[in-house]
Amino acid sequence: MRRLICLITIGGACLGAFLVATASAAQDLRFAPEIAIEATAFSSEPQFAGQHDGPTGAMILTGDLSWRSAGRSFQFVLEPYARLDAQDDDRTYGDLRRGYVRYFADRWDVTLGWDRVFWGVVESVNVVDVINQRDALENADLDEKLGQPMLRFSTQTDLGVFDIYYMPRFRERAFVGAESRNRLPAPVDDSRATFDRDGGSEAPDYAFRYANRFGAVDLGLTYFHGTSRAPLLTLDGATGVFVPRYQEQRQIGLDLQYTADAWLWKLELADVEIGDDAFIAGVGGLEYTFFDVGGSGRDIGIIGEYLYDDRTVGLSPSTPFDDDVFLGTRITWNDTQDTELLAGAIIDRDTRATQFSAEFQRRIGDSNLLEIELRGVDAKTDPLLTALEDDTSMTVRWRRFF
Amino acid sequence: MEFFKTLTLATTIAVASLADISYADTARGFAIAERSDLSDRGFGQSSVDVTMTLTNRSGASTTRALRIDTLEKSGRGNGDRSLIQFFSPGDVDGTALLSHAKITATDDQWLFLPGLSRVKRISSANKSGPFVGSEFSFEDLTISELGKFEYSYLETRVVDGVEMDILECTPAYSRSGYSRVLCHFDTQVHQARKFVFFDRGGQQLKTLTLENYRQYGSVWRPQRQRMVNHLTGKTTVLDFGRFDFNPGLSGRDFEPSALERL
Repeated sequence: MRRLICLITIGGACLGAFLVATASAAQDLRFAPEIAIEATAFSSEPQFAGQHDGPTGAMILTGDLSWRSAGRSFQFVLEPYARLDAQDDDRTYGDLRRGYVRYFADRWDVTLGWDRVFWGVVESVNVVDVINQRDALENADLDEKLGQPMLRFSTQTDLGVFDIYYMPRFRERAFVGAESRNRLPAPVDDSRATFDRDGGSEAPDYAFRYANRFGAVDLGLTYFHGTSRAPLLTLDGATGVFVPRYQEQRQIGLDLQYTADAWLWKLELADVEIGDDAFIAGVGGLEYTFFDVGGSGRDIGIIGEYLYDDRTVGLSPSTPFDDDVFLGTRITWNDTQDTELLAGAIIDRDTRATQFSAEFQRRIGDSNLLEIELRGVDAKTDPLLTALEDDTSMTVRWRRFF
Repeated sequence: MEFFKTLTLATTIAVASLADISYADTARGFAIAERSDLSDRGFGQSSVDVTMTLTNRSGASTTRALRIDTLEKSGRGNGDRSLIQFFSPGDVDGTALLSHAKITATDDQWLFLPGLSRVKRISSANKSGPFVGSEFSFEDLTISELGKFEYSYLETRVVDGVEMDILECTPAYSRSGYSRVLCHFDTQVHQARKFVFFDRGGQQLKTLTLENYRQYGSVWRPQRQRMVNHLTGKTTVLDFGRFDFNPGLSGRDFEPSALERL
């Protein structure tokens, strides 16, 4: 799989270079490469023997290439991603985040290729967002996504927007290795992964989304049938490793946002079947923004959300977000450098386990971005989080745009 | 339309604040603003590339590259629809803001965040805050709509070598950062030429001048807009490329679902 990704990435880069060379006269060709370097330091010694001690570093190569035909009928987009980790081979990988061709007709369009799709409205955990596999190598928050191969048909009608997705192959979740920080209590043996559905990773997935807006209300209804992106991990006592099992998933989702003045009211609900488990997952809450505080130009947003999930432990992939509260803030300076701070914590109402993060960013000069991220877990007695307890870290990332 | 024609029509009256304003001044003020609005009717749609240059008091400057697509208003109570795409600096490349302006109701706005491929409906309650770090505030982007202000005629005189009708414009919407705006329209082709903004305390805050007007068929567009903040010494200059009035857009290009297809 990794070799396939590398081939596609290289092939895409060659195609991109060819397009740049041959179509540089076209006004709608855009090429925007990016290089980033990052360093991460941990506040504690590692919890498990053999885990990396001391700071880690990595280089990231990515960027966008996009082209739109003169008549606006065709669009081509390429976004490869490569991470080269100085210490951790398991976190050195390549991915095709996006790489597709899209054809536009008057009222519909069709997309063929690898794409990233976002469903949902809330800020903490998007329970309706199921199209893409999560990137578990980039960070433990799972907020990055792997590209998903798909054929997508979309149409805009007077009754709203309809999207139909056909996903011909499944992408397994890649886990960090035994030496990596931010790992599970035992390593995961990807090579022993099993699939409940006939065809394994070749079994196709289907999804559907309907979206419309009614004045201040934005509504989305979604359906997914395919392979669960999250695996059920079973500990093999003999070898001491987790073995991933990918189950069949059916899910109906609802996302709703009501926008009133400076208030955003949000709700995501999912009725989920994974394997033999059937459960409800939901996140609801609100966001309020104090704009231009004291005439300073700064905006301060506060976010509060409640997370609920009543799945059965052991039947489907576990989640720490069963009965949790998220509190967060977003501060936007609205200055020339686009300075921004995002901070939040998810607190389990039962175990009091707390996962927190803070992300600061500021542009330096015209083409550099400085990012500082703080992440950590205060696991208390939560069995799903104790393995992360000693991995509180700070990452400094320097991104250079060309 | 909001953005480039920007303050084209900003106008209105602080009826209560000035005892000598008569009904005749109000009617004449509205007529002048309406005449300017009418001169822009029927443009249909447009697309233009813009360079935004932000300069601070010490002269250090930074630029942003953006494109503004506009769909002319249709139906009562609606303003123009606009899509602003950012291309540089690199870290904001791909970000886009879609606005459906309303005359009396609050505008509808959606933001596209390219890193997540996420379309997010955002609050439009932000009126006085700066737009992407510039000296333009959000309300400056959507006040070209006739009816967002109350207008009162003050005088006609020569300003910067051009004969202008000068109106006092008072925001008719809530949360404005302005107490009043002096709106200047030339008497020849009825285009907005200059706006002088006064903050809530009555102090002169900013001045916007619209320069290098060029005629495209029946409509006019300024090729440069210069905003000066008198309190901070900062300026924001917008330099417009050639306006394309036949970019081949449709209503669908101004729906939230279009944001993830840019």
